[in-house]
Amino acid sequence: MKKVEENLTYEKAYAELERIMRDLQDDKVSVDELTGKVKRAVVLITFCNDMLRSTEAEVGALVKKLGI
Amino acid sequence: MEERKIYTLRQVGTAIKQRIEEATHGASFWIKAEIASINVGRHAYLELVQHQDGEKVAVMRGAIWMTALNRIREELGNESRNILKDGVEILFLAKTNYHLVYGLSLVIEAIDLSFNISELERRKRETIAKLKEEGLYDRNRFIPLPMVVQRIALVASKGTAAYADFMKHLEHNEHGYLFHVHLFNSAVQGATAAQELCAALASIDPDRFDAVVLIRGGGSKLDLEPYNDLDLARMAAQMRIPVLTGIGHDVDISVLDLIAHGHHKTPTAVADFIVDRMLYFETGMMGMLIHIHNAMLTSFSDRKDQLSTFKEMVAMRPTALCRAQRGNLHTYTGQFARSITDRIATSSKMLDAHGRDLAVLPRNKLILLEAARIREQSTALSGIAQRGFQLLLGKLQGMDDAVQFLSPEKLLQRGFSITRKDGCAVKDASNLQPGDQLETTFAQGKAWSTINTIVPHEKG
Repeated sequence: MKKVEENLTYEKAYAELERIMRDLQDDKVSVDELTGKVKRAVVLITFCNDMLRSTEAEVGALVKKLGI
Repeated sequence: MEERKIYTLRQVGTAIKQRIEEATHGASFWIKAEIASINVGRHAYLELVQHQDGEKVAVMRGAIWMTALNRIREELGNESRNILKDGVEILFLAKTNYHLVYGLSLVIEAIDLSFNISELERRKRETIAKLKEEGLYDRNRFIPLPMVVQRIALVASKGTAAYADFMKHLEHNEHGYLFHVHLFNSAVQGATAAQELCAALASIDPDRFDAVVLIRGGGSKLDLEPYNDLDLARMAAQMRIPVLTGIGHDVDISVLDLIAHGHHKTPTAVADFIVDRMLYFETGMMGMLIHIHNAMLTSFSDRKDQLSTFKEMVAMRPTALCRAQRGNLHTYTGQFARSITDRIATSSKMLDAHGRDLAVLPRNKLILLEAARIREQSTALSGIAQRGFQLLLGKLQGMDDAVQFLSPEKLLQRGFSITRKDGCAVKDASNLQPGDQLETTFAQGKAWSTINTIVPHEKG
């Protein structure tokens, strides 16, 4: 799993996710960027889940559940 | 010396007692006074005081006898500890009592709680007005509450049920969320509560927390007093992070509740709010993940369609291009042919024009003269040629006559003959030998002979 930046917060992660979602829905993302964006979304969500629960095992299980 | 009348103390006391009883007729009065101190045993003994401009202007002893004390306690319910304490102003029904040994005191029969409640409400209103005046009333409400409240500065009294309930709800939330709670311990009731709460708030580093939570277990209306404190409200209003409260119940809204970012009925309600907020955040995030996933699939599918369209285009394009080029070529050829024809026509016209121009030019006279000369010469030449031709013709006629005269037939008729040996005319006798057969042709007929003698050729 790719590491996230040090100063990432819930707010920033959420805002970035919203941006990714909007961009994807507005068809602003080129096919080259698409995979990168989706990967980034997964990183952000994993980061948040990790932070919310702070236990690696649970995050692992969640990631598995999400099928990421 | 005049005889002096001397009274005993008892006589004086009795006289005063009589006078007082005559004046009051044993009636009871509603009196307002502050409890300077109170000593509760089987009976309660109080020191009552009236202040004006910070000065004591009246002091009197008071007493509540056991029977009245029990009744009053029952009437006040759980507020009795907030009323029967030092510093509280009360409205009470009392009789004056002058005891010969203990002196004057007010015997309290009843206490009006509504006076204290309305006093509390009046003070609350004053405090709220003051906060509004200072621009602090709405201040904390305008600070945005983080989407996730995870690092909590908890202002509570350790060991209370409120604290235990709050922690239990956070720690055992069904979603497995983890919270970082730091307790800032403080008394939540009693004389020092407001001060301790202020000190607790002052020691919170806002950079380390998402929110401040103040909780307290259920209590009476007057128990809320510390949370109505003006200084506490000011401090809370000026906190850089949102303040959440879970103090008291529905009907008991404290000043702190009003200035807080959000207030909840109980400590557990605050805890649930915080957990629910986290759940809301996570649900929103998962919702977005689903949207992103769907958008990704749609995008891929759209692109696949685009790709197949491109593929078709790629296949069709060269054919179409060739067709177009062929068309162009045809058009260009036509255009070229037309342009050549046009060009020739134009040039031809130009030549004609030039010819006409030449004809009309003055210098053409020279040309005409030259032409006339050429014509004359041509005529002359033609005459010479004609004469030359006639001459040549005459010569030819002469030659023809000579040819006629020298023909073999004419020579034979004139007596000449031709001698041949083996078909070839014999011109030199030295080529012959005696015995050779000779053929002689005459003008009329032939004769064959054999050579007998040969005479070689004689010169001259």
